[in-house]
Amino acid sequence: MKMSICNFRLAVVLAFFGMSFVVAGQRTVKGVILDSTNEEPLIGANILIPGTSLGTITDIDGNFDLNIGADVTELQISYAGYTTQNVVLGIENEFRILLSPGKVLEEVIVIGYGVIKKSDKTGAVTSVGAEELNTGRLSDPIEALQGKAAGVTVSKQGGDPNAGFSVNIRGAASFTSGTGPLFVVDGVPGVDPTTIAPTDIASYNVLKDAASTAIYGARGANGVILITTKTAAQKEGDNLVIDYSSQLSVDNVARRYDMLSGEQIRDFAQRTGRVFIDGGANTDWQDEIYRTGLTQDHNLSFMNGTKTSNFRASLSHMNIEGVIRGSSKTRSIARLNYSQKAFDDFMTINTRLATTIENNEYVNYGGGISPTNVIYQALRRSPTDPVRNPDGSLFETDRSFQYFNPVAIIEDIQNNRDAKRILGNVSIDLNLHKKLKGFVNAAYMRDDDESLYFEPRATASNQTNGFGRRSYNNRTSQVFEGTLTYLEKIKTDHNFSVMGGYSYQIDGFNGFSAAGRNATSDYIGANNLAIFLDHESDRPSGYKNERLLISLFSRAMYDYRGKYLASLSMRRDGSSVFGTNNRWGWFPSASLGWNILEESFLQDQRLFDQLKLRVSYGLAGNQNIPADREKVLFGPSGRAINPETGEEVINYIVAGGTNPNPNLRWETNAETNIGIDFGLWNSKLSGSVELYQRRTFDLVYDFQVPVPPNKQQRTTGNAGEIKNTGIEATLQYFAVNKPNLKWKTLLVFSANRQTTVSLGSDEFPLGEIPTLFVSGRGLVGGINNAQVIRPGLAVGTFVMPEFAGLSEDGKFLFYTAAGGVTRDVSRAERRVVGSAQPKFQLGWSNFINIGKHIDVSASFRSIIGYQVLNVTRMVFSNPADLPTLNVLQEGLEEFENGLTSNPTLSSYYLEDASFLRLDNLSVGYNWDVNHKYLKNVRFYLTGTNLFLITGYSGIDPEISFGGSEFGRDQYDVYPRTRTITLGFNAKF
Amino acid sequence: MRILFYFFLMITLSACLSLDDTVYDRIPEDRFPENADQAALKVVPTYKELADLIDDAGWWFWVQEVTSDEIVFPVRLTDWEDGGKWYLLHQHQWTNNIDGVNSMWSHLYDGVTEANRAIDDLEGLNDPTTVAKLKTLRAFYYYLLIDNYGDVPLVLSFTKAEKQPFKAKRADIYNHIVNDVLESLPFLPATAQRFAVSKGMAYTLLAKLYLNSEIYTGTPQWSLAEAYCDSVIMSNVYSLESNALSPFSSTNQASPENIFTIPFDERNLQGFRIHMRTLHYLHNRTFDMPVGTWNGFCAVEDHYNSFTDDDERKKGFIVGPQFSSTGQPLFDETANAPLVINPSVPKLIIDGSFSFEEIRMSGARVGKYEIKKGALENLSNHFPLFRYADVLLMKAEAMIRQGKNGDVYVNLVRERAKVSPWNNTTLDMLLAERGREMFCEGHRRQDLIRFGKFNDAWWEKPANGPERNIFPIPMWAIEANPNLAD
Repeated sequence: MKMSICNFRLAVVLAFFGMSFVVAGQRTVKGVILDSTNEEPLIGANILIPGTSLGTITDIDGNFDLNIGADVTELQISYAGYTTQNVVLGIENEFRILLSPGKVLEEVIVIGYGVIKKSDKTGAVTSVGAEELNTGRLSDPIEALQGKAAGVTVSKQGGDPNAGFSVNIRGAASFTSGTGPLFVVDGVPGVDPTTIAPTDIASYNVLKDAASTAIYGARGANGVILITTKTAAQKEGDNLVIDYSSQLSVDNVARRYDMLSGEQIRDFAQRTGRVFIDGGANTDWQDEIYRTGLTQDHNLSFMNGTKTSNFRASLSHMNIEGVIRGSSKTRSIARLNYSQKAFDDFMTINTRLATTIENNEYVNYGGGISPTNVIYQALRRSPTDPVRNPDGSLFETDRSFQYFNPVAIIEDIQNNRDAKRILGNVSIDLNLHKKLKGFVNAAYMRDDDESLYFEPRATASNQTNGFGRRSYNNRTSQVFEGTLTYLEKIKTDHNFSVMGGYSYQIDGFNGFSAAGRNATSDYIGANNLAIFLDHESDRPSGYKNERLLISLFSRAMYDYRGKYLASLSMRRDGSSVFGTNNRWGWFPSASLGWNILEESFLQDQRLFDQLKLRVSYGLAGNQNIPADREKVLFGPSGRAINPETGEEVINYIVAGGTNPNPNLRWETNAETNIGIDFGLWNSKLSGSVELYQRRTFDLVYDFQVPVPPNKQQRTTGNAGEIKNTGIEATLQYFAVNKPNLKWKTLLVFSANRQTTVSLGSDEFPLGEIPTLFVSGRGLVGGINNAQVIRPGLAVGTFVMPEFAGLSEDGKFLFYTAAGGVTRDVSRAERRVVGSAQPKFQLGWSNFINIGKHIDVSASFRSIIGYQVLNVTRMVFSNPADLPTLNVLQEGLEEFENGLTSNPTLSSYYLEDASFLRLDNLSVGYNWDVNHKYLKNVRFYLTGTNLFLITGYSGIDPEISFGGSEFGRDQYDVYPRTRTITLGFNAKF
Repeated sequence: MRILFYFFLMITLSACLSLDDTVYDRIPEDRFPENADQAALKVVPTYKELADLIDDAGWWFWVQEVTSDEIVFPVRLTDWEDGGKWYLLHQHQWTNNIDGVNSMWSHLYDGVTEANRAIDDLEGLNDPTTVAKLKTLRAFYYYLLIDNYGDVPLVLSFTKAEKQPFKAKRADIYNHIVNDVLESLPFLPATAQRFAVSKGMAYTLLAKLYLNSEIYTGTPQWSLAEAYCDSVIMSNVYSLESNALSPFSSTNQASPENIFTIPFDERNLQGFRIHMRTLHYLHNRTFDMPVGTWNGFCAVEDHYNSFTDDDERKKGFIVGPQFSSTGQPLFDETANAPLVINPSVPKLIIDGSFSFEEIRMSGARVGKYEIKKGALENLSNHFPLFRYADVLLMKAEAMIRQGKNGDVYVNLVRERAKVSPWNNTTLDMLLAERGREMFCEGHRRQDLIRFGKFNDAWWEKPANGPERNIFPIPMWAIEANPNLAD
């Protein structure tokens, strides 16, 4: 150490003299160091004068310059994971040096406001490159990440192409503020990832621990997903690549509800002698509402890079036909990424522009017992009812309250949306000085969508003689960010970088809606609201508000010879949604890393080629609080009568369903993370293991408050704590690595344990929160919530009456607190009977290359140890509905069992939902054509959801693991599909 | 120069760090009211809260009716089970965590709180008339609060209220609100819209308070009750309609019989859905309604039978064979039988052991509030909270209780209903007459308590103790304010 400092001083003195007497034997050499495989710049590569400790490192563009003595004849270039190379110096002063990957290919990972070498990371960051992502028919780009990153749960209940995925990182928990992560696309925070074509994505980097996300302050609590879009590399010459890909997919319903047939119902009626009106037909109502969906997906891109500029332009178009008739999604995306260097290397200007046009056609399959819920109506509808009358019109009858033909609902009701989104940003990288880099970024995002809904007057389910509505919603976001980064290197041993930044974001929300009843024209419908006679029942409405987020942040990083690493960050965030007494919050973090193999005492071992220990701690916030909960605002609350005059007036009251709270603040997540990264046997096996403990406190909730004196029963405030503890492991193994057969396998594992530590506070007393309400025809019992959030339990714990068998006369029996049984559900003890929180999750991906041409990939995913409440079975296995209404086969079994109780909430309907699914199986044929223009052609066949192993009796065990209540299958699940995709790809 | 530089730097920095967002779609506190029109409407929210009391937002009306001996929501197979929220009220088995008990509390206090806010805002503005109206309306909400819950917090200001107020004694609140109304009376107009606070409304409120004084304070005030009934009668503003059902017609806006009403409107002031709850599923064809009705509540059979056939008021029930608006008999496909409404109700919980006809067609339905052709989900009939016929019967009761003869006033009401006049009306006779005249207007529970009959057994309801004369403070309210526990 002392020697080095002396050397450093000597070097400074020498450098000083060197500068004064250049002619007397000093010269400056410059160069760029690139990865030999893809010519990407290598950041932080070491350039050393052999035999000394003098040297430098490359900057983020891979460039370096170094003053050397005339007697220096050789430079040593080294970079972790690459073969060290000695460059013999000749007369030239500029070098372009290609380093080839030696041991592990050293990856660069994207972190908040920066890029670092993987070996320098100190937080829990998972990087997934394009080659590892799922392929095939993706309704949403985030689907590509499913099962690929440990601790990242990408889930959706059912297969609706118009429904988004829920993304949950490390059991993120919140009652009201949302549990979705922050998406940052090419440095722009808050971008909706569905606006990106899956083929445009170069990589996902997931920041999981609070130390990594703290740099995003009040938005980091649920994790951050950084998405980098593809662009061309900047390099010499003409590097034009044109890429065209096209795929055709066929979707079919993977599993169906097993309902009774018309014959079974007739047989039942005959057998039991129950009164029954036979509709005379044999209709499979699921056949009538389902279809085979065809999806087309076309992508065209071209890119080019020169030494000073690069661009990539792409155009994607996709049309998904949903497997429920009448549902579809069409999406077109155009994207242009362009970068230009200017004033030598002083600045790089980057612009990105993306536009999305999306059209959705919806059918209503949610909303429980609703006249227009097609799944509910199809399942209950008697299979003896025909679809149509002899004259071709749709058949309607009156078997039950709100009993409507689902085909009429699909064919008659128009429900569609037209959305446009634009995202534009300009960013500038500035090389202000060799050691000082500047970055500014300005972005504008805008989402506009227009919705149209029309129920014709003739549709039986319509009770307003025709109803139409149009609405328009618009969301804008403007972001300005700037950072300054100072890089310092004290000899080759001490590397510092200090970054400081400022961020300003203003989001606007704006929209209106108008509707009418009593239609005079079904032809015009809601296209012109003037056709409605009644505009009084549904008044026009509108909204417009905004929220501001202002931040100051900084981060300091240090490493000693790449052996000891430290990173400190601090963000100060202010948000206009916070109460006036709590506008600004601090979000600090600290993390340490130790590359153990760099220690001299381990130089002789050959087993490991990478071994690193990381420890981090940080605070991150969740600011997803609805706007204007903190202020007293007066707004219109419908019509009223002026008692003095009898005139109609608008009633102005203090707006909102909660009392204003000037102390409202963000939720805070304090997280400790310990991680190990390792590589063995020349990285044949590599991976990482993370252990974390996350405490989320100051949970935002609408707490019940005293009435009087408060007007509203609830005030949005902060109290309570949830703890998540977990382990994550990622393993990558090159099982076979022969010239003609390569097999890489990737295993991700995660297990999370959640506990609600406390609820409420002195100001906001709160004992427990009942959640997961179930509803259904004939459902009896007073307290129909299946879950309870209370201290000691995880969110998603089922607390309800425990089934104790059937009585002699076929009534449900339940256990009581005293240990006996009762048939009165209100006297049953509400017990912990299960949980919708999985015990662990697995993702297993395999990538196989056979010979020169064939590649195979297979991705399995498994979620183990959780339960789902099958409300569909609860409601549709009630023998009392027979023979008038249809039921599941289980309904007939229940009849044989002698069940006479109405559906009642109990553990009887709770089922283990553990599953193993083959998410994705793909076989490709790849051919390097080597034609003058055509470079490469690829064909592939991909199957999605090819098999599912589960004990769950409903149509699909997978639920959306997000928010504060999940685990309910309530005849509101859009069928999941089995998809076969044929794809073609050509590179020119 | 340097000072100027720092000045600009500070301006720039503070602009960069200013979190002042603009609110566009609502009016910030300091900008409201913007104009005289908005200012004049400061009383409106206090009135508007009344509209929530009649249906299942505020529950007051249903709690009064379903706990009494005149109305029942039978469980019809799986319909109207609703977790017991109806039949537990009928059986007097309610808990402190049942919809009716929960919502009535918050909605009655909604009215108090809106009144307090408006009264606070008017402080120092020298507008005694508006303050008098608001205080009288607040007294009305407190009258319903002490009537239903007994001891409750007495909060009289929004801005100066304690965060977790304690309960006040029922008698103290009674004294306070009687005083408020007496002090307000000189400022109130003698005539006004039927749905606005007037002298007549205040007299009736005082008469109601005095009539129930024995219940609220332990001390009867029969002569004061009679005196304020006289004030209403002698004001010459109100009179009986010739037809007993006219005060409830769909065009009852100007009925001279109604003293204080909620001016419901099918579109502009919603919250009156009594027809939706009582009519059979097929009845929308009778009334040409575009919406499907819900086949719910009906009259308790004994109550229906207390009307003689010549009683004009009996026309307020829907019984017997039912027809579409074009005169076609209605046929219930589920029951596989013509729709014939039978006043007999077999049981409170009509389960699967009964026929579909019994399940679906039992119980006389309430047509007292006229259902106009083409009615929507909400009615436009104004709902009478105070009515002249009520005042006449109150006058008679106060007289009888003082040992006088009340026949004149009872008979005004009976003769109007085309039933024979009475001699020497007793309290029991009077209670029965109140039952017929005031049927389904939200008075029955209070009347039964005042006549000492509320704890008796009746159809599908066992006898119970007097603790059921008031409702418990909801569990949620006590959880949020532990001071309400004792």
